[in-house]
Amino acid sequence: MPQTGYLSLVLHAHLPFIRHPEYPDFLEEDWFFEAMTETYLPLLDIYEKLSAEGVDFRLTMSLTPPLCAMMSDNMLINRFRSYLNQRIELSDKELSRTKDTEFYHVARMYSEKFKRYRNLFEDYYRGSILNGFKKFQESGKLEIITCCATHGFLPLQVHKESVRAQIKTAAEDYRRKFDRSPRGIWLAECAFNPGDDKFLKEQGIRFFFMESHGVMHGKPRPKYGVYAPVYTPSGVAAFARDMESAQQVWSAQSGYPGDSNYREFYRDLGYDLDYDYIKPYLHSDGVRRNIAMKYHRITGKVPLNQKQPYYPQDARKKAAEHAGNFMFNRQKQIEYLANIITDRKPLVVSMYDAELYGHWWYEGIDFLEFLFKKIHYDQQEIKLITPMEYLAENPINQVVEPSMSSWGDKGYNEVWLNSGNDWIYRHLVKAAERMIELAERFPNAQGVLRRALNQAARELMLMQSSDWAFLMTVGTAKEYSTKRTKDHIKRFNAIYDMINGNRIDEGYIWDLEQKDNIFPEIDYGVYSVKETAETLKS
Amino acid sequence: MENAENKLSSTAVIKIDRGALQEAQYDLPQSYGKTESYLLPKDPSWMFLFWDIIQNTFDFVKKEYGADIFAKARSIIRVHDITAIADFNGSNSNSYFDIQVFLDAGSWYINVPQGGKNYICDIGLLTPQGSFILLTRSNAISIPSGKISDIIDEKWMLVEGEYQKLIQMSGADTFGPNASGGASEKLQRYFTQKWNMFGFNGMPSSRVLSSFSLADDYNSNADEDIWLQADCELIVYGQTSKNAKIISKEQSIQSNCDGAFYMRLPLPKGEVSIPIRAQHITNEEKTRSITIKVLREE
Repeated sequence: MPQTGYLSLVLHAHLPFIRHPEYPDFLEEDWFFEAMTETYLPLLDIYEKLSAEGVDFRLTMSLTPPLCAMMSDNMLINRFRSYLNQRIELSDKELSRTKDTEFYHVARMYSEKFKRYRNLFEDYYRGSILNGFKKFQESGKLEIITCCATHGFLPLQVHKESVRAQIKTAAEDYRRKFDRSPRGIWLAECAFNPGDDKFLKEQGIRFFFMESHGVMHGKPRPKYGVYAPVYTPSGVAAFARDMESAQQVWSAQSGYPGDSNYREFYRDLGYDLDYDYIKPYLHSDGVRRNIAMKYHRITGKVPLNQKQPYYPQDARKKAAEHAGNFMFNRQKQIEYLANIITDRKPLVVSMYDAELYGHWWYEGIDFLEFLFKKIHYDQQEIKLITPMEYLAENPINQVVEPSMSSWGDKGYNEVWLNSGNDWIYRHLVKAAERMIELAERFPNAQGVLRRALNQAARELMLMQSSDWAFLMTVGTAKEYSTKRTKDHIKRFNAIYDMINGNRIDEGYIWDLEQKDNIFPEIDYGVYSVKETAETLKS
Repeated sequence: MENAENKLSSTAVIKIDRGALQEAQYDLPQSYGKTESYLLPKDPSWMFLFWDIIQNTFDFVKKEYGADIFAKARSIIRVHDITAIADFNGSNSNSYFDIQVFLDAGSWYINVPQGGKNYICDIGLLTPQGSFILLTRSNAISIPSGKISDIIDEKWMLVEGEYQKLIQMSGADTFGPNASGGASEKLQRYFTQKWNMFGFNGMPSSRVLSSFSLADDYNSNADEDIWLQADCELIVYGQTSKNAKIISKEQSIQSNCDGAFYMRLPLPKGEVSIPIRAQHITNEEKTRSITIKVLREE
């Protein structure tokens, strides 16, 4: 069979900026450590393996600015080191405890994996995981894209200066971290507001991703549906999500991750082991929680105490089977599309949260490894491609104004705007308005005033993270997300009052610079009214 | 699901820091000292308006129009369709409709008659004589259309039958207010993915309490027959102890720091039962309940 079309895989890697130097031990920082151990390092591990074997793969990954900031933060990295070392210590102890039991294989799996990831992190990447990602970007296999500076939800930002600041700050941060300009961006929550593409264009960004109806509801009708990119009026390419391949992974009923051989997320050693034995590996408050080591498989719809032992080899076999099934379905889908779209090769864009792979669907990493291998070795019909490669092959695309949309529930803004979180916008809009006003009043501030203005910009961006409004809606970590929103609003207002009263407390600014240290090189001048107006006019 | 629940109840702060606690205690400003309003888009059918009207504005209006103007006039949101109008001046919109509101509400969800349009909201007073006194004008926004465009670019066309296949494959007809439904059950919406991953199992609950506006065009022709449309909604309000939360129909209702709460609900024909339950924030056993029954007849 000749090649009929393309598949573009996109992983969105993001965590909100959670870093609390004011506490020796902070629960929510675990999200980062777990994602490092279960997703980010394991992904790099398979990229290394595939490259060594000569498997030619293509993948697009967003590494959001907050995630990059955490990945390059000394304090968090040191805390991650002790997290990983603790897990290694525990998994070694577990080897003797489980000897001659049915859990020995899984205990050995953890022990080996943790050590391999430590080795990768310390010896290969010298403590900087970004070095690993950069390496694959430079080899042309991985396209790293940026995201809104703090994952701000753009359609709910009233002031265009604030939208521009989210994009420009992100692009500048990317240039510092990856030594080149970003070619693509993942708009937070795939939330697009018509016209915002001008700010992408201003940064030289060539493409972004959307939920399928964002393009399908565009004007005029997109000729190829979601199976080819469109150009927005400013000339930035929009790639839309394919629902069919999304369903295969996400469907509650038939999605791959629910297979009975796969690891059960909710049955965790943090609850299973003797308290005195597990206590050193819990947080300092001694409360039993998940410790991200799990010895059971999903088994079926049975209570947690009836889950059966996990066998890594069986699970891996199943992941290979699912990878084969996924590839087969893409071949059929693309073959069908090629009968409709005859004047170019159709493109299927499959987009997922990166943390799905490894953290939630533990075997998702094996699935990707098998998928890349199978596509490389077993067939010719479909080929993996990055958005830039597709644009190089198809430089002429239809111009469509995409519709406002997001990948949230019901497809628009409701998840981030409902009676459970709408109270935040009064403050977010006001803070943005005040930031713009400050940038106008002090175009060339120096010294402590400049530091105060830059910190105000950081606080504004941090309160804009879509994660907080999201967590309020889903009702999980609601207390934390509410507190974070309020903290950043209060900090912003305090700085604003200090600047207005001409009484800046340098100690207070210093303290915030230590706590909310994202974007050390931020420039508050990004909120310029004039530059924003010029971009909008262009 | 014991583990999941345990994780859910985990708190953010392991070691309690006095300074941080103090910071969390003082609340956010109630007002930023300026009369203003902002409009945000929610989806093809709804938008959200919030406002702040300060005392100076009330005083000024009373001085201009009489001390009893707020008693005599109705406070309204006038929702203007300003699609393709570049210089809106308050009276040159394509059409508008009014929603009666309490100015104290501070915010309102507005049901719009048509997606794909641009809207702006004026908040003000409608006098018995029918004149409008503007208090604050919002920003303008565009609302998404929520449907596949009728505009077809002749240079970029597929045969209609073939195009229908692409539409079906894209799943685009499963979004928005006119969605055929089933998409969410089928996909369990992806967006909960990330936070599900971190050990949380809950699906988001949409619990927007909203107003159903009189979604009609006021600028109708004087020669035509008269028309009438009316609808009503229900306001439920109350107060509970500060250490209690309010739950109605399995959903928690936001209350103020003094325990006061209110809900605006649609009121369809027939009997509506509204159970209201206060529950102690830590001890779930301690509850108080009141059920209000309302009958709407026409």
